[in-house]
Amino acid sequence: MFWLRLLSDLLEALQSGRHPLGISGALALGLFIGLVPGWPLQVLLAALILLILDFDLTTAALGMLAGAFLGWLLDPALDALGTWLLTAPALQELWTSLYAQPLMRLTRFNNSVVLGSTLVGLLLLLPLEIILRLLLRRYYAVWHERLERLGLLRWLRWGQWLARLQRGAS
Amino acid sequence: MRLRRGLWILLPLGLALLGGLFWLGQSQWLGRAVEGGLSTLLRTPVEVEGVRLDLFRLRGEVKRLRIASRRDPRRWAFDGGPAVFQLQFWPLLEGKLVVERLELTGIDGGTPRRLPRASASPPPQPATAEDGPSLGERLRAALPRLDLGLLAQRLELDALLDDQPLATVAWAEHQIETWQTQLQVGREAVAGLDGLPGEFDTLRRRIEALDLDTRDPRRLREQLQELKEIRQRLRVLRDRLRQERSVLDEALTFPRDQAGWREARAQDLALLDRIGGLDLKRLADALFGAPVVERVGAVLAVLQGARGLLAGSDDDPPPPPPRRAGRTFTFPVEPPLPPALLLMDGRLEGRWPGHGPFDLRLAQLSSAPAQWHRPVDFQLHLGERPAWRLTGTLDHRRDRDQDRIAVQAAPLALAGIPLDTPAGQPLPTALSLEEGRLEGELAQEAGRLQGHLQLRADRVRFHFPEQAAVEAAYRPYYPELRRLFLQQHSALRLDIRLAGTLEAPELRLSSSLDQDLSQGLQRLLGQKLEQARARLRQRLEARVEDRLSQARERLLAEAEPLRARLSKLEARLKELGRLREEKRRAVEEALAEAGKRLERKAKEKAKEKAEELRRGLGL
Repeated sequence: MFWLRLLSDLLEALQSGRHPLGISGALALGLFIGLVPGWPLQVLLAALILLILDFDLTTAALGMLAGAFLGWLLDPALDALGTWLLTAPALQELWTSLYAQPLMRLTRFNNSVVLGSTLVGLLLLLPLEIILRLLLRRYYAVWHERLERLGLLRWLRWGQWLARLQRGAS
Repeated sequence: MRLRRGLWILLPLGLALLGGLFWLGQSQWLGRAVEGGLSTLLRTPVEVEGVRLDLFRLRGEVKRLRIASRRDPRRWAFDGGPAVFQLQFWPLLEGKLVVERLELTGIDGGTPRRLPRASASPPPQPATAEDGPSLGERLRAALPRLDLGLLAQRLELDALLDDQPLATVAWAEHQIETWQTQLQVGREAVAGLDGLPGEFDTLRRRIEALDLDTRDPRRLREQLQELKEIRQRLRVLRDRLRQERSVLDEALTFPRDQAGWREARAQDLALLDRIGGLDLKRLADALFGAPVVERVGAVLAVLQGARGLLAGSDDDPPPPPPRRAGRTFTFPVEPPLPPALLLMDGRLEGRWPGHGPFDLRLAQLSSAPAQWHRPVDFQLHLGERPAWRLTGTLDHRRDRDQDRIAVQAAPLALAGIPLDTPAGQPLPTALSLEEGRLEGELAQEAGRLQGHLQLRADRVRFHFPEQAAVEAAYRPYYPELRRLFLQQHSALRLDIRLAGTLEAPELRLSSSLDQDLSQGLQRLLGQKLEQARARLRQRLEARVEDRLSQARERLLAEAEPLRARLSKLEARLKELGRLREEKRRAVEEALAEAGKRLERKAKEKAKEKAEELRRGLGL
């Protein structure tokens, strides 16, 4: 049911003719939010941007799921990266000065996984958005008309309605 | 990228939310919510009045907070207020609770509570198993108990005066026993001479039976031989009598065991030096039984509670997350970052049921002292008479935690402390401290306790027994001894040393009385007491000498008949010797006479033979 709704919402967003950045940016920001564990300041800021600007929230949710899965897969590597950075002698002065700032402590940068995932998330953010935007443009050019003609979205809504009816009967 | 359309709806909603929070902080609803939350948490009715929470300044006020007793619903177990607290903003964002200031005054307990009508006047409910013991009880149960009954076994108290006989008297008794044994030996020796009178009679009869009129030389020689035999027998008897005389003389000389006498005398003098030895065990029981044990227990409770609180840290493992937790690094910054829980300055003031008013100030109480780099300081004022003052620091910044507590209490008045004085001794049976003062320090380092407390009492009252109750031997010098005792012991100093561990504390006690007496009464009490001691010593020696003289006289009286009997036997022996000598001389004279007679007769016979021969020859 959930997956059916998610798929129909995603298709609806794709077919709505929204600006590609509204979808690609939402996916990239969602991926970032999912990738960084917990709710440190940078995640809250990303969430705030998602809520204030006209990003597609369904796509963002999908991105968060993907980011969480990716994070779970990459955790050992993110941990190792964060530890390496936090223990690097050359960076100790930087970390100490950041640690002295209450606002920076809210980012939880002193945690190895949070630092590793934040850096990876930030590095992935822009390339991912660009790639996704290109893909979306391609989709609008080729697939948008075909899917519209197939009425796939209508079928998915019917499926959703039937599933709800079946659950109500049981 | 444009703004979301619904944002203009969300913005007023956000502002309304902030306004709602402000209203919430000032409303009665918050008070009811706090009441409900605390009641559920504590499982007992809670009343909160005048709750105000300023979310912008993070400042809170509670006019009154009352928590009902679970044992007796008609009373408030806690009744306090007003309370004010101030939180810090940034640590709160990091999930840390830093209380900049906490002030809770007017604390009281056991105050009456008006019950709601539905449950009016229910009888006090005993605590059920479900209720379980209160936090305080559990804390108290977890504490090492300062059971002085058990501790007394480890106390190094000076030995007390036992009700034992004086050593010199014991020595005299032993001496008399020895003499009696010797006298018995003499008696037995004299009793062994019982057959002598009969033998003397026999010998006398034998001597008297000698026939001195006989002219028969042979018979005379036989009698002379018999007299020789009698002489031999008399010599044997004389030797025996001499031997018994020697035994009797030895038995009745009453020699003295000088080494034993000196040892016994030294023991008695030591005993005299310890006159006034007090039962410090009872003193300690009385001193530390109710007031101190409870308060030291309370101090240890605070210590233990603080230890429990300080034992936890921010590094406690959270429930395992689906993601890897990673490593959280800390960096040296100044000032140090606050830990998860920090009370920077706290003050609790009120009345402690049964102990009077109290005022507790706490500073820098944190959940991670190693991170905060500051020890916990506290000050506790408790009670009025006596007023207790505890100040100290709980330093858990390093692996080896150190706690230091200074204790002061004054005035301490303790009445009727019984002393374990042997009955009949001219010593005090109880004492009372009228104006005492307790001072000292307790320290704990890595579980090891170390402490020193000193109790000073400038006014000590001793309770002496009636003169009639004192042993007769002590009565003559009882008033003087009493006066000297009081002259010296007008003040008391009691030293208490604490050692061991929190789990097994050890207490050592010593008093000024012990020290005075152990260092010798002579030096401390001066010449007068020395004179009194000398008199005591003389009386003691005279008492012993009296007993010895009486025993000697009695023994001499018993020995006199023995000596007389022996002398009588000796006299009879002498008389027999003399009689035998007379007889011997008479026999020898008779024998000589008979010899002469025989010689004359032989001469006459020879003359007759010669005449016959001449006549035969015709000469």
